[in-house]
Amino acid sequence: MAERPTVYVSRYFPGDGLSVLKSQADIIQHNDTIAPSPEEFAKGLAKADAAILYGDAVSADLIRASPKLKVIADQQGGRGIDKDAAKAAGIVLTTGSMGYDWIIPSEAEHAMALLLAVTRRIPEADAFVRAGKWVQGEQSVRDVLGNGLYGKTVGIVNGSRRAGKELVERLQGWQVKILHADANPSEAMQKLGAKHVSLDELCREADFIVMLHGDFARAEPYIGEHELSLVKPTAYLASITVGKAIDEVALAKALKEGRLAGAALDKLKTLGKPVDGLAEQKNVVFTPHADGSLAVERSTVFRQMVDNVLAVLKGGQPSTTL
Amino acid sequence: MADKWKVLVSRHLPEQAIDKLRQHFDVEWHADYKNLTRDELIARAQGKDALCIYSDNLDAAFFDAVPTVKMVSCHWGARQLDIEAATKHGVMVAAPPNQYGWIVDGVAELVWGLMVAVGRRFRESDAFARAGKMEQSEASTKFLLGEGLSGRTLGLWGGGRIGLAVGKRAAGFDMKVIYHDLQESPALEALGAKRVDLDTLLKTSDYLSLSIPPVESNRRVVGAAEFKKMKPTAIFINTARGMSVDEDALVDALKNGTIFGAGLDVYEKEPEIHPGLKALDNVILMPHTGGSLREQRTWAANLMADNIIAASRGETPPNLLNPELAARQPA
Repeated sequence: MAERPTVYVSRYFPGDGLSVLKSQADIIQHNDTIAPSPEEFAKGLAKADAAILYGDAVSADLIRASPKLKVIADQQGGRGIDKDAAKAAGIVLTTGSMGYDWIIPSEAEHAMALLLAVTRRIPEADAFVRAGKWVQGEQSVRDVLGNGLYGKTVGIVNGSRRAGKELVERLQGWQVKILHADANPSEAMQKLGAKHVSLDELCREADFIVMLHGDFARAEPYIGEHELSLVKPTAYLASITVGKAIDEVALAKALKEGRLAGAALDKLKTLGKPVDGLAEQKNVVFTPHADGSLAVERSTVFRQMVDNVLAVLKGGQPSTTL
Repeated sequence: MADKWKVLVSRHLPEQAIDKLRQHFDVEWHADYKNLTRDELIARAQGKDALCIYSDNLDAAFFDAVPTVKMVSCHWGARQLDIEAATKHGVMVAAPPNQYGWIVDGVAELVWGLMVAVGRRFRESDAFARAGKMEQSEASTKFLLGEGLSGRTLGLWGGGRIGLAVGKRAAGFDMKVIYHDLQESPALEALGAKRVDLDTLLKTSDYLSLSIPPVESNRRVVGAAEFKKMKPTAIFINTARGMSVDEDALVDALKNGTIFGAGLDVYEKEPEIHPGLKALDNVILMPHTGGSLREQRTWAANLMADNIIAASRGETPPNLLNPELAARQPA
């Protein structure tokens, strides 16, 4: 590294990576959690010796327009990068040595978290205590009754492709019966005791319905009016998958009419805007697309990307290449 | 049965059980969640044939004062009343079996609920989403970064029934489980959990859950010195008793980032909450809900009703605790 290189960073990243980078390079950063505009992105990349990205698209044209670029580290494994063009231009593609697979166990953990939070009414109970409504020792047996998982049936909708096996593994110590409905049944899930059934049967039988990622291209919801007509009134629904996988209007109606005991959602069809009636329900827990928002993992991966980028700029090898 | 029995229910119970009692008896219901005073209970028990109680404590003098009572159906059993005195007075006592069994699972599940809800900052997340701040799809990766479970260490302070039930549930979570107890727990060891000294527990746990009994020697065993030994990313869970934690020290530890967060179901001056706790975002405050499970509570209350119904018919109540009285009943 003869002189201070310029590194383009296309997002906000947590941890100490940025200060390490700053000590050795000039930084152009789009310090936000949403993507930069294509113009801003192209402008930043054109000036950079190295780039640290978050799944951004890098076309052959962009590579041609960025002649100084020697190395790109992408947290999401370079899914948007024209790898042939990068190779032809002699650009090293790398990521963090931790990779991106930690996101899948994290999804399963988040699904469990949603389930426990809604069935034990955790945010609601916390608000109850903070509002000073708790005045007698055992009042919660009347006012904050929850439901246990022990001895019940958990039905997993989708998940064959990713987090399903992780979730079934995590349920091993919980003494629950596990059902699974997916267009492509997972053998790994079945081996761990998940019984494959139709979605209708799952809706009828499950005390807890957990939705994982399915077919992202599918336009119609997996859980709609029909499915919600089958569920037990004591059942809970928790979902970490995209908002369109659930008919939110039908869900709000089912909750209001007491045909479902509660719901916990990590995604909404329209960002930031629960459909009418949904947010008014006390028995709904929301998290804002937080199923992969882990401080240690994200800080570690960023630091690893920084280290890899600096290694290449110094003429060395990254710990991992794409 | 010549006359309908008169029954006093001294506490709020699930309505299903009350409806059942009303089908058979003249029921007087004190539908509150706090107990009557002893004097009030004695006054209202006059002329009653049976009492359906939740957590009232009854001693010999109480039975002297309520001569018409033939039967007490209670929730907690022998721990809340003087069975010998009841037997001497010819008062049948019944309680649903194994009440503590399901509480263990209920508490263990709540420990996990708090672990994940504190780790993943659910109260802040829910508020963030409800306030409509979710407009950027990845905003949480900046504003709500939390702690996960994979690869972390779960530390159990107390390896008894609840500690074991919490440890069992870690089986598939890719976690290391350690525990600290005066005694080795063969059941925890069989799960692969390792017994460690207190220092190791404090210094290496990412999640530290307290499940120790409420005895005087356990008063304020978690204080400033203990929090100081924990990791800055550690999450502290207490579902045991408030007496074991110095809440001033906990507030300081949470405020100063000595630890990442806490999940509490019990408090030093329950139900009074330390004002410092209420002011913090990195703590979840539950109103003692470890055993607040709808289904189990309904099941227990129904059994309590069934026991009175059986007694009123001259049958032996299914959950009779003083069997010597069974024979005294007319066939």
